[in-house]
Amino acid sequence: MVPEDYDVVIIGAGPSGIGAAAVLAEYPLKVLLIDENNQIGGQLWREPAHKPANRFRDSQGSDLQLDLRAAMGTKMNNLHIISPACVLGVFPEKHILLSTSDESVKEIRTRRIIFATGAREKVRPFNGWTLPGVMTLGAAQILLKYYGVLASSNILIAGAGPLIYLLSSQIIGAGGHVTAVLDRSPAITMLNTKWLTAGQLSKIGQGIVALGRLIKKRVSIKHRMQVVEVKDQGKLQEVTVGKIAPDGTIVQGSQKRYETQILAVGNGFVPNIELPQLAGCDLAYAVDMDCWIVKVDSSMETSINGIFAAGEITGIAGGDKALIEGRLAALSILKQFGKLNSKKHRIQKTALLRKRKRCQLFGTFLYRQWAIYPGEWAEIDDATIICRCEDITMGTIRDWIKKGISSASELKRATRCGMGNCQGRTCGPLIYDILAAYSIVGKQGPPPLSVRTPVKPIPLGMLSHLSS
Amino acid sequence: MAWKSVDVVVIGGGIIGTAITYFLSRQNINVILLDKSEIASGSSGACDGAVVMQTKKPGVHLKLALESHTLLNRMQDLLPVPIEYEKNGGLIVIETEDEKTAMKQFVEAQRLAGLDVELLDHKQLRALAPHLSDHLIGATYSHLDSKINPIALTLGFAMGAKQRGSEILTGTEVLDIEVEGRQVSAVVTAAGKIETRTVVNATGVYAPEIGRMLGIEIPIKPRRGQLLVTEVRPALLKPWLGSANYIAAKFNPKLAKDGAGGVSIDQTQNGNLLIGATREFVGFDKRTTVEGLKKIASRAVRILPDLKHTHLIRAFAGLRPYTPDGLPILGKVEKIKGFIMAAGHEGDGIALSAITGKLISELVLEGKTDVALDSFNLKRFSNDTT
Amino acid sequence: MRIIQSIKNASGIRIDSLQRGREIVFFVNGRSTTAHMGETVHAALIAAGYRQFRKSKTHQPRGVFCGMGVCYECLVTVNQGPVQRACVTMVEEGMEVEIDGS
Repeated sequence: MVPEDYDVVIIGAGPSGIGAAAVLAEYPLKVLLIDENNQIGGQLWREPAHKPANRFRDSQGSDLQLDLRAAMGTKMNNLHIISPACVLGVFPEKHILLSTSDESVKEIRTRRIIFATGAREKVRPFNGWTLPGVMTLGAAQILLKYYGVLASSNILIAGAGPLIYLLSSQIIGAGGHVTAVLDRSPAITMLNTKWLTAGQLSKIGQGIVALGRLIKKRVSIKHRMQVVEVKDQGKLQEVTVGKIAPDGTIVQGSQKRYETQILAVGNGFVPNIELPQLAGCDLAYAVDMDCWIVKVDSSMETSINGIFAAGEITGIAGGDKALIEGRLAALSILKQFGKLNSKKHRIQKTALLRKRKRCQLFGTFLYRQWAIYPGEWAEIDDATIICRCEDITMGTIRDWIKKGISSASELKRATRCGMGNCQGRTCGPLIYDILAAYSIVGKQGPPPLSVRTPVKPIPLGMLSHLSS
Repeated sequence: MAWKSVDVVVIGGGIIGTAITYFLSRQNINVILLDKSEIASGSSGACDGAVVMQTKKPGVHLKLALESHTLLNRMQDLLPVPIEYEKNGGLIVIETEDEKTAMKQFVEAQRLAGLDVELLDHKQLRALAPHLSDHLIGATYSHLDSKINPIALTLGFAMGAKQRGSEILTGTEVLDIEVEGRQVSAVVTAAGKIETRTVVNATGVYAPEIGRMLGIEIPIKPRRGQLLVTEVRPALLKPWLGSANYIAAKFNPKLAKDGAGGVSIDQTQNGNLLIGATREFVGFDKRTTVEGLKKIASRAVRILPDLKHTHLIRAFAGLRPYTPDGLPILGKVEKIKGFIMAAGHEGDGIALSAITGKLISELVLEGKTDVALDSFNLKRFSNDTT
Repeated sequence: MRIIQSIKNASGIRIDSLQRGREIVFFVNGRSTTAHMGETVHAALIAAGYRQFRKSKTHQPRGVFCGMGVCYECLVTVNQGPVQRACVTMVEEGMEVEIDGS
């Protein structure tokens, strides 16, 4: 296998990856942008499937000036895009091994790497959350916006964060029926003035439009409501909810039942740090967000020289921060390559860092809505599944906590949590929360579960055909 | 002022250390087990669960293994954690006539040493394991080979020991071992000093570090083995499987041709297949490599073609504590009174865990053992005669 | 557009405000099912009324959960080959999908 050489490889083509590519593509550098999905855009900039993405707008509506069609043609032929492409491993001296859709494997050597791998959704478990009638908010949204499929005609929305309102509004716009919107955060958080200080006026606008639609359709919006159980009654799902107190307990006698077809639920997002972790980048536990992030300096450089991280993986705060950080990383690389003089770099960097700070405030505000209270874990039934891949229940985990395990790795060894197909992507964040709630580990966080090559499953036949 | 004072300190919370602590805890004796990280966080948490008699050198090695096998049989009922012990036999598949010749000799030697093992021809092999590739010309089979969950077994020994009053301190690194003259007097940890007159070194690949604290050279080095874990599959393979080439490479490097290469395949009770393994001297590097994974994958698919579409979901690497002659280092160390070795099991740690536990506990309590440990003593490596 | 569906019908619904690729036919447990080019297997299955795709380790029903390729819940067998995530597999003309909806 002859390695291909690049100046910069950007892993992940969501807002931060595309933002970085847009900046770098203006210079005579050999840049590779890859994404594991069939189309680029990540989760936030998905376009309907039949319309291949080639233009992107940031949330303020301004055109990114990145015409990716042209990138393949004459204008920016130094930008190569491969999607889908799955990174098998990142090795010392910036060697990357990729498998592509035709089952071939590429070996890439590069001078700089930008990790822009985004985030995935987190769900606070309850009895029945594994049923086919329950999916994440993102899953329902992808089906609707990307494939034009309403998961069903009646959908109950639960969880927290702006997405529950946005999704409900989108469902109504598509002609669907929203059974109710159950926001587990207190109503007062909607009036939080942090919206303004975070400079997120456009988001307020979006929020008002969404709410307006819901009010017009008389959709029931309830606050402080948490799903406690879902039962499959054939075509219908019976969803039991209860009022959640600030200490995380469910208020006695507050339980209500809803009948619906699909329950879409979400409690925020978790950064996809697996690849940077595998590459050896230092991680940090973000105490204000209860998640592991990649440690970066103000230039978005990680603990490894020449490796950068941008977007949700440095802290969950949405698409605007992701885009800003992608740009910041690209600018840092340009300066390192001598393509941008220090003064110009400093000016642009300062401006971007200012905007970034506002976005980070928004992120912290978001997290407060999503936060699972430590006291909730005691409420969760012994029978509730925590590790979905291996069907490991809360009861089994509690047993081992009593026996005296002291870390996520120990729990994994003892129970098999995290040993299934998803390798801890779904249950890992829950386990870190549980261990913190049971005071097994301090506020600085438990060490994350280890990551090994390959980071995603690969058929043995394909692996054995790699040319050497 | 000592922090604690005990009869025995066992260093190393892997399969060997926990087994020893368990057997010691069955007696009326004060034991502490120390591990710098967590129970089973090292090699014992990065291996397969093969309890294979066929891969042991005929002689004292095999003898020990057979005794361990008998003991492990009883552990299921004695330990407080389900250890997933399965007696499904073991197959060593043969691909070439050269291998067949070598295996025939091996089988004869094993039979003489008391192992019940037979040679199967192509037809018999197809009947026993129909999913295997048609190109295999035969196999050796022993019904005594079995498998176990190594992490569960380690945790089982540890929990069992705790239940009987032993203390286990994880996250506690040993910094030094103090002596009074030539007698062990204390173990120094970051958390405090533990007074004791007996220390068991069960630290596997880290045994030389402990030895250095006492000026003793221990010839154990890490030999990396990468292992693949597949997604859960319905029952494909009941017996443990190894290839003749894999076994040959362990004892007779001339037989191991780099092109063909050996493999071991083990389907766990959960349904995942554990496929291994490489043998690499790379220091303490526990990373997996695409080259290593690719080698193992292609060998596995060659033996079990059905695996072509099966997904590898996880790979990891364990460091085997390798010794120059392939035998563990067990027993008292003459230079220092109270210092006992129990490390260097290189790929046989799980199988030999129970017997090691029993024998070392006998050594500690009675000063001698049922089975003579002379062949395993550290002094076999030294040149001087003091 | 108006949805005139009784609450008892649990199928997913294709909305008509989206331009789709051409209609194709694929097979679910041998049953011929329509879909469109550009759809994933999971979108096509949901639109066709299938919700349970498989059973878990302890035989509990599972279907789509994250919808973005992370959770490995939506596993289906495609063309007698390896098990795949339905949400990242594009549907193709004549594709044979096997699910366990029992």
